[in-house]
Amino acid sequence: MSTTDTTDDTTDERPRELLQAANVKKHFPLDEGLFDRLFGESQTVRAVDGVDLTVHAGETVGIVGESGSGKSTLGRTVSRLYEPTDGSITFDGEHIETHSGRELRPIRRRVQYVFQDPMSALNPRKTVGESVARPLSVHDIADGEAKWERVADLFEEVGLARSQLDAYPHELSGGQRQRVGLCRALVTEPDLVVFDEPVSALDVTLQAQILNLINRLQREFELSYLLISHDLNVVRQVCDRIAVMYAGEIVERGTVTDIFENPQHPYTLALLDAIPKVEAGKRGGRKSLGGEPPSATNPPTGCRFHPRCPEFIDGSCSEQNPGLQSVDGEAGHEAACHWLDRSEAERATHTPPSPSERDAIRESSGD
Amino acid sequence: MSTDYGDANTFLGVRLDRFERLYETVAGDYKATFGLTTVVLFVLAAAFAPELAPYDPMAQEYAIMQAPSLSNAHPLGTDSFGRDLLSRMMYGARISLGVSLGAVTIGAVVGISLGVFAGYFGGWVDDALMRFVDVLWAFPWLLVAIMLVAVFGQGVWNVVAAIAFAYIDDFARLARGEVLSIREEEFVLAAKNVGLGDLQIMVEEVLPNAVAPLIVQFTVLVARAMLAESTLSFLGIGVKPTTPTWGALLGQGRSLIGQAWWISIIPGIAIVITVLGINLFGDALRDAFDVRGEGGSP
Amino acid sequence: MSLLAIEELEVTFPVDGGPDVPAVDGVDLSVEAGEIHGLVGESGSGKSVTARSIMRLLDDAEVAADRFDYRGEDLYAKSDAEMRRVRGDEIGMVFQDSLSALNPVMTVGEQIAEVVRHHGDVDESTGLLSELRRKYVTGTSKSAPSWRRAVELLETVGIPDPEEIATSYPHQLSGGQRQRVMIASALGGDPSLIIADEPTTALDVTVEAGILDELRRLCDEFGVAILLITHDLGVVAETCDSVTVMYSGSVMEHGTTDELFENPAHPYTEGLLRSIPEGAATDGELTTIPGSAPEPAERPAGCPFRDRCPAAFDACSEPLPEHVVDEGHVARCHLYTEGDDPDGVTWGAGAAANGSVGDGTTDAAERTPATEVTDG
Repeated sequence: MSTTDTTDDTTDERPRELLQAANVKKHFPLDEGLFDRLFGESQTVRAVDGVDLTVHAGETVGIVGESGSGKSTLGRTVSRLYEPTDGSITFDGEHIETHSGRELRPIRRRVQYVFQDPMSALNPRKTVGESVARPLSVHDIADGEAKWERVADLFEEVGLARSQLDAYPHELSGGQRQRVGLCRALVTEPDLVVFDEPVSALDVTLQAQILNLINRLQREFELSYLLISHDLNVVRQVCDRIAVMYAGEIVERGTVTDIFENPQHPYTLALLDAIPKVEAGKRGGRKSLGGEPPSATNPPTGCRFHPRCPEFIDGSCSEQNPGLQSVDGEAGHEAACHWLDRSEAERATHTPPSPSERDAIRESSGD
Repeated sequence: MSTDYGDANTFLGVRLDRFERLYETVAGDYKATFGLTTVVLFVLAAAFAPELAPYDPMAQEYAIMQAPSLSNAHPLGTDSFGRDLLSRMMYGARISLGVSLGAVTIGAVVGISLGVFAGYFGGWVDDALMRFVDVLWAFPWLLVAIMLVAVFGQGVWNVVAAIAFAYIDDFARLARGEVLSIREEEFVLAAKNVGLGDLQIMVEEVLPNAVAPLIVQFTVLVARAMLAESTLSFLGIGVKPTTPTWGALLGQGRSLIGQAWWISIIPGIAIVITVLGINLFGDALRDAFDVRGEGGSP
Repeated sequence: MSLLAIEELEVTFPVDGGPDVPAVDGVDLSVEAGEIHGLVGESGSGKSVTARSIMRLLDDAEVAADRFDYRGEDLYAKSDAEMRRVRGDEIGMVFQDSLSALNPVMTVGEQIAEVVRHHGDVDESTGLLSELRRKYVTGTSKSAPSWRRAVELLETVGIPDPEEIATSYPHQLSGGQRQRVMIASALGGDPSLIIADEPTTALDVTVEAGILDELRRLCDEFGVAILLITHDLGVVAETCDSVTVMYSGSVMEHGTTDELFENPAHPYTEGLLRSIPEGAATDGELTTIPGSAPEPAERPAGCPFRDRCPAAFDACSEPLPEHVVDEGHVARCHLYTEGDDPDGVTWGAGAAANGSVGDGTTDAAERTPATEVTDG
């Protein structure tokens, strides 16, 4: 796990903000033929729709969400693999949202990305040694013998053998390939590493190995992490703070303790509930979340979760999108839910309206 | 590149084990062996024609004109001017090789560049470049050959230009198709992440992965170029009349098929065998370069 | 009598120009009627191959078993025609990737109706001409019994608006809906066993819960037995009545779910349970099983797990024993039969925790087996 600097500083300095994303949006226009473009309504996929995010030096922030939540797109946008449609991204004080490819080059050295599927993220025609060494020559960090030495050392650091420098990706196992992906991200000694589902493609026992490795590397190299995952258990293992995403927005954020011990947003609760638990005798207790994932081109009005929310209140849920508000006055813990304006007692005894009643409410509010 | 790490050894920048693979592929498959042998013989004949040819290809000996094969000191016979067929064929191989390779190489370089740029950037660049390629494609290459002959007269370079022109669109479309799917792969995004620029990505990441079908296409077209050159020379709009390309030899023997069949038939057979061999060799090359062994070698 | 009884299953894949691959090496598996049985293993364990062998979908492989009975009848003694009847009528299958398992150019209702016609209990012509007509000209008539049954099945698996969904194409549906469609289609022939191969691996967690609930309900209400293949122990804990744990081609342990999770007897099962990031593991390192599973060609003699097992000892090179821990709970481990106190086996939290040991090479001979037996 990471160590934040505050405990060590004698001056009361909060750790510096390494990455700051404000109101970031990333929309993808749906490709359409000439006809649609001229006469039809063009549609856009609003993958990320107004997200604020901060990563401090030395900490690990987790982004949790299911498919369609926009978490991967968010990760790629803040690391400037994509250009944001709107919003600002500040890295170590520098605004990078509109940087061109050339201006981004020095940033690339400091912000690195680990992809989900190590097989597809490695060029099958290059040896893994070549793939990992390339950043060193791109950024003029090292050359010749020195370059290969660095790569070989890093390989050993993550548990690979020096002789594997000459291997092609398909000759390695899944776990080994993921380690190669890690090497490539770390070889330039970055400040921030963004992980996109780093262990989803791996078996359980490998997951544990890689997670331990990720933790250890963070301590040794003083890294900051942004970890994207759909697996709350993984996130819990590595992260200090967590943000839960749904339909392109952050619906709750807080420390690991906040999220796991005092979750506020109904979606967070559903996620926690849905995790299959291994403790014996807990069978069949899960309530599944009904309904369908939200449309990315036409998200629900008001609170985007309202059509599936087991704690639906009334018209305010379908009309007004609750912004993130702090929970119990705590600065770090926020949730976007109308229940925060009401009393806990009321929430505990509330019975949600039936689907037909909900439809009626939606109709009357002109949804 | 350092050879200290691991066990890699390289020769001219290409890993030694790739040559091994090529050898394995060829040795294991009789078709590939045949192909390679044919290509090697062809190249050797072409390269060492001056040393190997028994006679001067232009030397005319009316005394033994139209002598059939193996009739005397001329293993393949002579043509109607008394010139030794074997020597003419060996020298002809040089020109055929040069013309085919040259034409297809030019066509490939131009075509692949257009295709890669079009496929990688997409959008208006893609549209513009591909429309340009369409124009090239719509032009009948025979017409281009005739035009060139009309302007510059007969000659080798006209043939090269005309054939190259004909093959640009082939390579462009093929390359573009490959690039379109490769650019969506994650490792291209990963290369962007590393900080590689567009040109670097195209050359280092995209092109090597697009190469397999292009190699096969290259060899197929070299074979076709030989035939094309033969066609042009046969029709008389190719090389200068006395140049002994195989197609020209075919053409010269056309009217003598009844009496001196060997003047046309032997070059014809040679064309068939060589074309077949080049195709088979192309297949083997593609398999050998397929790093993942998807071509079938375990 | 068990619904499905397999003994000493061996599946070998011949390889061009190389040694045969022994994907499954002596596996016993039994599924009782009306239960959900989990088949758990990591990649390379042979669980999918085992499942496909039940449906006789392994044409390339050599399959041998002492016993391979379904309802008392030897599946491998049946003719092709008989087997075609078994598939669908008796045993249904649900695959992992619904998008590729469903025909993209047929509506969902059509596909289920087709299964119903061929394997179910309806009185409708299934001749070639009628099928061609349906496929290319008219489609299945909405009043045909097979169509009505298809809609019924869609409703049974929890799809809202089944009439409308039945006329949709697979790509128009969400992953969860498609998976339900696959289940409906597997039910089309009223089978008594459904084999579900990683049915929820590709789905989101919240959707997964629904699918697993659905399977549970089908089992409870209709008495369909389910063989659930997965790598996710959580899924097993929540859904299955009994479990078989596989590793590298062999069975390591099997028993009821409760027994297995409360009282895991095999070191591998224990290691698996400890690897899961959950609960108390947040304080520090996860316990890991160092190294990675061996390739079939590189499996050590005797127990395939011995190179990674913290308690491996000499007897482990002998063929696997059967040790009955409790009724219905069997562990295949020499610790119980050859001595050495099995309770003394613990996984040290620091035991090669960063996994760097042994993962560098896949050559079994070079890997040194971890020999820590006691906790630090």
